[in-house]
Amino acid sequence: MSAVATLRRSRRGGQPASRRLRPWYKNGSLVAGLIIVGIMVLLAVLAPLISPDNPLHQNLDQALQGPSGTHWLGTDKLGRDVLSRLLYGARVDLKIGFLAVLIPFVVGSILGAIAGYYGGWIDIIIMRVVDVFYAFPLYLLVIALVFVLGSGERSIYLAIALVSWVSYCKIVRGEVIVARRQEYVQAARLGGLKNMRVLARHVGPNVVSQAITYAMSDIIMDIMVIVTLGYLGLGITPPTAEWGSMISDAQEFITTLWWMAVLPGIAVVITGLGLSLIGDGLGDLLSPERRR
Amino acid sequence: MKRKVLSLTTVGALAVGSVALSACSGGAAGGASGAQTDGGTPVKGGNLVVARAQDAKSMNNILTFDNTSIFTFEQMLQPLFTVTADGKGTTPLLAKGYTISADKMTYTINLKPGIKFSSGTEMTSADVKFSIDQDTKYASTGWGYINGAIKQVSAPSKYVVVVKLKHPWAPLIADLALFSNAVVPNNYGGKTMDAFYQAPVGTGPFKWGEWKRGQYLKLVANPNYWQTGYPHLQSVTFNVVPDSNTRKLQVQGGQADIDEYPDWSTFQSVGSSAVNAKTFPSTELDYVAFNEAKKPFQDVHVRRAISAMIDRQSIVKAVLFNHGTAANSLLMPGVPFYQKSTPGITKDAALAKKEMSLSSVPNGFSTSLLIPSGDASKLTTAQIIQSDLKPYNINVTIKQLDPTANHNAQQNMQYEMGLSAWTMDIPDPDEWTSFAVDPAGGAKSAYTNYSSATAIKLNREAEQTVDPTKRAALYNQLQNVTAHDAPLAFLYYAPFAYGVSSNVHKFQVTPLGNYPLADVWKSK
Repeated sequence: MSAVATLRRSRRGGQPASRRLRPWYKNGSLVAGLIIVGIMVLLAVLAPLISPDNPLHQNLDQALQGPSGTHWLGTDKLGRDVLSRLLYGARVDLKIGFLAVLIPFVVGSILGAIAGYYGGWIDIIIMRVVDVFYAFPLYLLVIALVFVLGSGERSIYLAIALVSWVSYCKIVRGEVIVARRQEYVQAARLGGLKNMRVLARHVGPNVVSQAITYAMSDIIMDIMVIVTLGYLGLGITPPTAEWGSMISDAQEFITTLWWMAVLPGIAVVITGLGLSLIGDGLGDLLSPERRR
Repeated sequence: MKRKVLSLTTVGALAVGSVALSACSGGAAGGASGAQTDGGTPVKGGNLVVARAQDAKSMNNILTFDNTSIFTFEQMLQPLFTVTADGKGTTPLLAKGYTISADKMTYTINLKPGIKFSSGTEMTSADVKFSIDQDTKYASTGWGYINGAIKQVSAPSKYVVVVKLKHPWAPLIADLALFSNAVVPNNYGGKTMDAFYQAPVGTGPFKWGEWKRGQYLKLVANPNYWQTGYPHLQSVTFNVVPDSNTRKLQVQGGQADIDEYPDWSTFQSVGSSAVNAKTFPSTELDYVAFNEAKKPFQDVHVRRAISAMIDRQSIVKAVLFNHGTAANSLLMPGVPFYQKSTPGITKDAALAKKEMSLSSVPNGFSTSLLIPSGDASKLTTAQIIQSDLKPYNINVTIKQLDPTANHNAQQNMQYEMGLSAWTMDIPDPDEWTSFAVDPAGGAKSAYTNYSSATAIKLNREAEQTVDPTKRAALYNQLQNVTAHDAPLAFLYYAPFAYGVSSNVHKFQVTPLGNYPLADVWKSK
């Protein structure tokens, strides 16, 4: 995921003047990404209307069937319709992916801004805490947290929130450190504005774009976390349809009914691709060079 | 699947029963296709490659509880007696025979002369005494509880061992056939216990080779083996191959000869022109445990109702792909005294409704079902049970914990319903019944808190009854009582699954799960 998470600034071509004027809808990656994610979200939202069967409905007489007219993508070990589970799985994975980003985004950005703006001991304390979280591998920490909190949706939100705020904190802090030396900030401070106002009204809007860009790749990361936890049996509790547990359930049939594991995998990849493209496009659109 | 650990306190509860186990009644071992009719002259040499999911943990036969380790060191370390092929009785191995004193308190065991350890030294009674004493010594942390009735072991002459008991205790021979009582050199040949088990020395057909932990464990033929002409194989290599699909492909591709425990889902596809997909009758019982310390499971009607809601045939179909049978009794078909006509509760909507209406929660309730994470079979079973109970307004949340935490939660009674299984280690039902129905056994009746005065009394009486017919009657009653009280919902009896390359001959698994490899051979 690090490749996706890498922050990119638009320095291509060296023609900021012409790029500056391009509206968002002419940004190819952004549009492509929005279309892909839009379709995924639409499918997820409309799942109850378009899916052919109840994703939880067991029919053991129809277990492990290949694709057919009634079950387009076949059935799983318990005779449940794979297509329906795939669609309902999108609801779970996308919902948690998008929601789980919110808290870390807000908390991490605020703490990063404070650390970067005030510096001194506040910066030292916040950043040492960040270092402690950074020292652990992400998945190890999430799995340990889910293990302590018990599996289920709430634990996943909590675990992700506790772990991933540090990235936002680091990104925003770096941007704020640069921004606070700039003339407009100096001017605002010399003009007698209160620190909070300078931070919220002047620094904030100028630094948040990087965090937003990162959030796109972070959603992918969160979906990967949910899928991984599902795969390990520590995620969403069964029988709820979820891509990770679908891959895990299908693993034993990989040599015979391979599509059962591959399809949810492809769904994850497509969603990831869409979000990466959005992140890329946003990076271009919101980069400081463009806004200058 | 793994063997359960009985706690020390079960010692007193362990059996006083019959030696003549093989003579006792018992249902036919179910679902077998294990019998092999291998003609041809055995070929000498060759390396047998066994692909297994997990690596062995330790070669210490008195402190190790996992099957992977046990099946490995059993090729090197042999006890005085061994389990018969049908798993229901014992037969002398290193012993020539034995006599019992009139008061049934003293067993005099004669050893076969001329048996050598793989090191070349001859095995004598001093080695036997040391080995049994060593096992007994580690009763609190190992298998030694099994020797609880032994007062003293002595070695009056080179080939005679005398075992004196604290009280009459007929299953002694079955207990001496347990791998923990296998014979090792006196005083570990001068080594410390830990050093000895780094490269154990025994009387078995194979001796220690090398162990690359996490990769493979290799045993080589013992040139000093006391049964001349055996083993046929030159060596055995146990390769660690965690993924079931990879194991299957390795056996089909000829990189491995035996696939230990293929997944049931792919079991049919394991077989090919070059590979036989084999099942061997086992003593495995899979069950739902109800924690009676938590409401409403103290209510017999709730337990009976749930037992009547579960569709066992569906589970056998979805989990075992029809390779096992629905369970009807506390005992397994491979165990002596199993009663085929035991009225274990099966799916019965009318009974479920009736019992629910009589129960403390006629309108349903919410509860949880605990399973270990990463176990596809248990997850499938749990989801079937969840959907079976839903129409009766019993909402089940499936709770997954990693295997160690799952085990601890069961032991500490921190669960409501849980999926578990048992396989036997000795050919006597008492090992399991004392664990399952006697709260004084230390396991709180298989961690259910089930405490029925009738069941406890029947179990204790059966332990002390020597006459096989009377003992069978007592175990019949016990099976009926537990079928009625439903402290456990018996789910299914599963056989052992193996994928065996067609050039491997005479490979047999006993109902206790172990497989002697001395007479196995490989054709070219």
